[in-house]
Amino acid sequence: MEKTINSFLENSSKKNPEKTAVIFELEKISYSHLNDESDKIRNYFCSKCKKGERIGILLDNSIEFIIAYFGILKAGCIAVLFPTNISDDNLLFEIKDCQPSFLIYEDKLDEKMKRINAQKHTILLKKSAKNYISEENKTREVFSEDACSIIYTSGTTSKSKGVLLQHKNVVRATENIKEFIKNDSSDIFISGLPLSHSFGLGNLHSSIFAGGKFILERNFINLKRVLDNMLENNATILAATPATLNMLVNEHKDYFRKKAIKLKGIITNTGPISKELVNSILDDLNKTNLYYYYGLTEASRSSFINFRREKEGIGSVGKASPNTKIEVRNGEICINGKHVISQYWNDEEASKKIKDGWLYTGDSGYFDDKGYIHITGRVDDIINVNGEKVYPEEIEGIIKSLGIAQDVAAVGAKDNLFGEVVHLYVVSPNKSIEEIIKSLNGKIESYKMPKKIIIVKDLPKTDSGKIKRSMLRK
Amino acid sequence: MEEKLKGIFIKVLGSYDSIKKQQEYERWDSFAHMELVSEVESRFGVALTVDEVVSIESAQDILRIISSKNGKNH
Repeated sequence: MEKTINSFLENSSKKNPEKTAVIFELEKISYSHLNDESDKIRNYFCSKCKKGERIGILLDNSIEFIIAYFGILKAGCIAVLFPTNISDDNLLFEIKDCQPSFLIYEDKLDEKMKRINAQKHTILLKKSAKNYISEENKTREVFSEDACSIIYTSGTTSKSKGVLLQHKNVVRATENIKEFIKNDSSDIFISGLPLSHSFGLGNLHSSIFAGGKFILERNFINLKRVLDNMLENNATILAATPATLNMLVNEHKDYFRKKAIKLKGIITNTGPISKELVNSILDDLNKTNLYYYYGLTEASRSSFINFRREKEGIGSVGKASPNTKIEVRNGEICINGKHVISQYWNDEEASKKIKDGWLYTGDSGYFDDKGYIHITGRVDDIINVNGEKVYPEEIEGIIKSLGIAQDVAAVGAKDNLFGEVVHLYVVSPNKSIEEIIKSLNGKIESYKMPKKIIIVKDLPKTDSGKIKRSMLRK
Repeated sequence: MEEKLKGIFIKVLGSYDSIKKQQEYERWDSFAHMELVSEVESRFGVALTVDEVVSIESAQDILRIISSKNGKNH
């Protein structure tokens, strides 16, 4: 039988029903309990929805998120994963775009739901109401070709695009992780990455697939507490972004070293990782593997490297994952494999990026003489803030729509912590810098907020009127 | 002091409640956390230690940290 994501949970539940699957703060849930609870959600949605209907999850990291996610998949529906820090405009756009029949949301977002009038477009299910369960057994067959989730990523204009994943894509990406890092049922993951993102969710898939234990953190804000939990729970694999690792190495060095004694591996991605950071981790934790991978939501875990074993590959993103082909075509990284999506949701234009099974990533790069892949930048102007993709046109569009300035340009500027941050160049603004920031607050997600606003007389442009961003990036 | 902090919260998070926890705010994520810390440091003229930065979970935590710093200065 072909594998589906829900079969990961069902199989691990059969093999080790009493084993703890997930720990979140003071809660623990076993494999059988997680499976049974998600069955109740499956029952509910099987009775309310047809196969392929979309159901939104707008929840912070929590056990409820995981139960809801598996329940939706078991019902043959598509889980739409919205980050809870999403702006009002983007949430409304995405709800209108994918038309979820139901939306399970965090209680604290009550006001947000009212502001965007969400109940006009979907049936709202508040997390605390727990009214989306049913004891009456209803099942549905789910196949590997079926769609499983939609995760939105920034689009070239103000419009975000929905990455439509099928079970087979995610299964292949999960198998790629397992083949490379060789995690098994004895492994204990710890992660504070959001489950609404491919990186965070992928680690959960990987742990459940192997029948391991997953320590889920709410986030990585309180790093000391994460480190305490890491040792207390004997975690063997830490999943974190380069920005978090940077803080661990530079701000909590001794504490990190002390608490990482059981760590077999660290897994990271989402943005460039400096050679200095790699070498610091390898020196500080001399028995821990450091895995780095390259991928997009559209083609997760496309390349891998273990910097502990392949020091000659430091500075690269490794080599293609098993069953994955990577080519550089006209300077652009292109990926082919079963883990690559077939199309975007409801977006023919964006779907043109996928040709004959090859995803044109928009990342520019090259192979070195040892076969390692290097990413050199973007063929477009995207800004990568700690793995969050930001299109300058989106921010510029908002500034223009608010009538704040005559002209505006958003560019990426190097940042030690987040890799890149947004800098904004504005021409003849009718507001102070403080007021511009205030106008943007709540209109865009926090990671899109400009870290610096520079007032200029005019912007460098080509003859056709296109902004010369390279001149502003410096 | 609380009024000044309230202003910072409104600017960065859009709302203020002295006892509300980080996870109860709509917009308090890790990016907003860094922004909050940077605003507190510049508006109150203090430098927070790494341990203080990661321990902040509410406005009350910030008020406590600033009070202890002011106490030390006098």
